[in-house]
Amino acid sequence: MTSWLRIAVAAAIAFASVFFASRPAHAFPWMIREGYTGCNTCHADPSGAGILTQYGRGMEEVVLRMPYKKDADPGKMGNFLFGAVDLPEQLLLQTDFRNLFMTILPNGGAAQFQDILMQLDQSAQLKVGRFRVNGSIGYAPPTANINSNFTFRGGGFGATLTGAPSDAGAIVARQYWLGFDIGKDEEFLLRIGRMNVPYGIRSIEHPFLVRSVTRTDTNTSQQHGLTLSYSGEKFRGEVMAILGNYAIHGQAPAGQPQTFATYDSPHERGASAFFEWMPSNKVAVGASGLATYANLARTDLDPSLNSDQLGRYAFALHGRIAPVKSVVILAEADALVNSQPFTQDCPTCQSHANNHFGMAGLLQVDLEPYQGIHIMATGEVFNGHIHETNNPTYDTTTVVGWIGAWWFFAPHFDFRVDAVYSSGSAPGASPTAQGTSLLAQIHGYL
Amino acid sequence: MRHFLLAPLFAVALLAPATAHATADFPAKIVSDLNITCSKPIWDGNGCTICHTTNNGGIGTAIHPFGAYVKSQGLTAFVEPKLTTILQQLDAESPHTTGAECFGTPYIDLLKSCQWQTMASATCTGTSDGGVQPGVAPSIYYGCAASPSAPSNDPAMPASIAIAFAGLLGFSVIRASSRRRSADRARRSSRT
Repeated sequence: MTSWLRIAVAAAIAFASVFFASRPAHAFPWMIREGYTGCNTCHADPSGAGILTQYGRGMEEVVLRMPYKKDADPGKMGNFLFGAVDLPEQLLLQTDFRNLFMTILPNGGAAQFQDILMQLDQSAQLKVGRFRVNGSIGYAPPTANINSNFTFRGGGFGATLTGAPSDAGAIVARQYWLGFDIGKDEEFLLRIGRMNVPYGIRSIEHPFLVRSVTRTDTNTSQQHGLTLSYSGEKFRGEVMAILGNYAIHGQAPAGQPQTFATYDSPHERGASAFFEWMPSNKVAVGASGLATYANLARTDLDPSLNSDQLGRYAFALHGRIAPVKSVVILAEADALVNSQPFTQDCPTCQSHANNHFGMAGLLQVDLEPYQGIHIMATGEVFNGHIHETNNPTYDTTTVVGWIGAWWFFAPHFDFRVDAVYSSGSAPGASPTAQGTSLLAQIHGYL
Repeated sequence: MRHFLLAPLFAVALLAPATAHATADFPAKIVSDLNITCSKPIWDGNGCTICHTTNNGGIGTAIHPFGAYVKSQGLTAFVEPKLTTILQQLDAESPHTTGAECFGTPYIDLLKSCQWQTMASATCTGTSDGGVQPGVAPSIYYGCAASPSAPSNDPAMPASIAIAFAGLLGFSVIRASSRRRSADRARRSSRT
C-alpha cells in the first residue's frame, strides 16, 4: 500500500468513524499524583478531557487501572480495539459508552429511577503535520417511560445537532474543531470550532456546582469560538473568544416572524480564560475568568432569570495538590454575577434589575488506597443573593456533599458509585441535584 | 482481594435503588392536588403533552405554553412540592386569569375541568387573532436548525460539518502528499 493510499484510508476511517458512530468523558485532574500537572500529554484537548492520545492510553494501562501483574510496559491492550488494529500515529479513534443508573429522592417528593445512556460517542482526531481535525459525534436515545417511576433517557441533549429531542432521539456532537499547532515544540494550539470552555478545574463531574452554575462543564456546555492554548512545563493556559453555542437557538413565538435576531438571541458572545502555574509536579494553582453577553438568557437552565438580556461574569481561583501520592486535594472558589436590565415590576411599577450575585466553592479529596481504586469525598457550597423582578430579594444557600468510589477494574473499563446529598437547588444548577441521589455508572471505551 | 472489593461495590449499586418506592409523576400529581374527579383527566394517558412536545417528556421538550409557564415559575424536574405551590398560586388567583390570554380560559380552570387536550397545543389558541400570545419572548430550542413555524428536526448541521471535515481532510491529504513528493525529490537529488 502506498503512503498516499494509507493516508487516504486513514482519512476515510476517521471520516466514517465520526459520522457513523463523541466525547469520552475522561478528565482526571487528580492525575497530578503521578506528576502529570498538564493535560496535553494524555489528551488531544490541551486543557484536558476528550479523546486520549496514544501516550494517554498507555498511562491508563500503567498508572490508572488496577494492575493484575506488575509490568511497566503498557503493551497493546490499551490501544484502540484492545490493540486489534494498529492505527497510524496521525489518527486517534475512541468509542465511548457510559451508562448511569440513578435513584433520585427529592426533598419532600417521591422517588424516581432513571437509567441514562449518558454517552454513546465516537471521537476521532487526524493530525497531518501541524493541522488537526478533531470531532465527536454520538447518539442520544429518546426518553421512554418504562413504568410510572422508571424512566430511560439519553444524555447530552444540550449538545444536539438535530432539532428538539424527538421520538427518534438526537444526534449529539459535543466537540468538533480544527486546530493548528504552533511553536518549536508545538506548545501552542490554535483552534476554531465547538470546544470546552477554558475555565476552572476540568473534571468529569459535570453536575458540580462550580461547573453547572458557571456553565463550564464538559458535558454540554461547550461553545463555538476560537481558542489559543499554551502547554508548558511550569505554566499552561487557554483563552477563548466565545461566539455562541449554536447547539441551541431562539424561536419566535407562534405567529411572529422568525428573524435572524430571534434565532441568534440566546447565543452568548464574550471570552473566557484560565491559566495554571505549576511550581512543582505535585502542586498547581490557577485563576480563571469568564464574561459573556446574550440578548436572551437561558431560562431553560435557570428559571429565575428573565427572558431578557443577560451578562454573565465569573471569576475563579483553583488549586490542585498531591501531598502524598495516595491523596489529591482539589479546590476551587468562584465569584459570580448574572446581570439583567432594569425592568418595571407592576402594579407597583418599581424599576429594578434582576441580578444574581453568588459565590461557589468546591473541595474534593481523592484517595487512592490501591492503584485503580479511588475513594472520593466532595463538599460544595453556593451562596447567592438573588434579586428577581417579580419576587422579593432573597438569599439562598445550597450545600452539597458527595461520597463515592471509583474502580478502574479492567483495561478500558471503570465502574463508579456515588451518593449525593444537596440541601437545595442553586439557580442554574442541575435540577436533579436537589435532595439525595444514588448513582451507579459504568463506562467503557474502545 | 478482588472478590472482596467486588462485593460491597455491587451491593451498593444493586441495593441502593431498592430504598425508594413511589413515583414523581407530574400529571398524576396535578390530578391529586386539584382533586380532579372526571373520568379521564389525563386523557388516554397523554397528560405529559400539556407541557411537553411528546408524551415521553424529556429535557428540552417542555415548551408548550403551560410548560413554559411552570418553568418560568421555577419548576424543575422531580420537584413535586414546587408544582404543588404553583398550582396553589394559580388556584388562589381571584379571579383566575393566568393562561386566559393564551387559551381563552385560565390554566387552572382548564386543568380542573379536564380540558387538558386543549392545553396540549404548541401555540396559544384562545386569542382573537388566531393564536398569537402577545408579548411572549422567544423560546430556546435545542439544535441549530430553525423554521418560522415550528422547531425543525432536520439534521442540517451534520451535512455542513461533513463538508467542512471532508474539505479539510482532502486539503490535509493533498498537502501531506505534496510534502512527501517534495521530500522524495530532495532525497533523490541529494543522492545524485
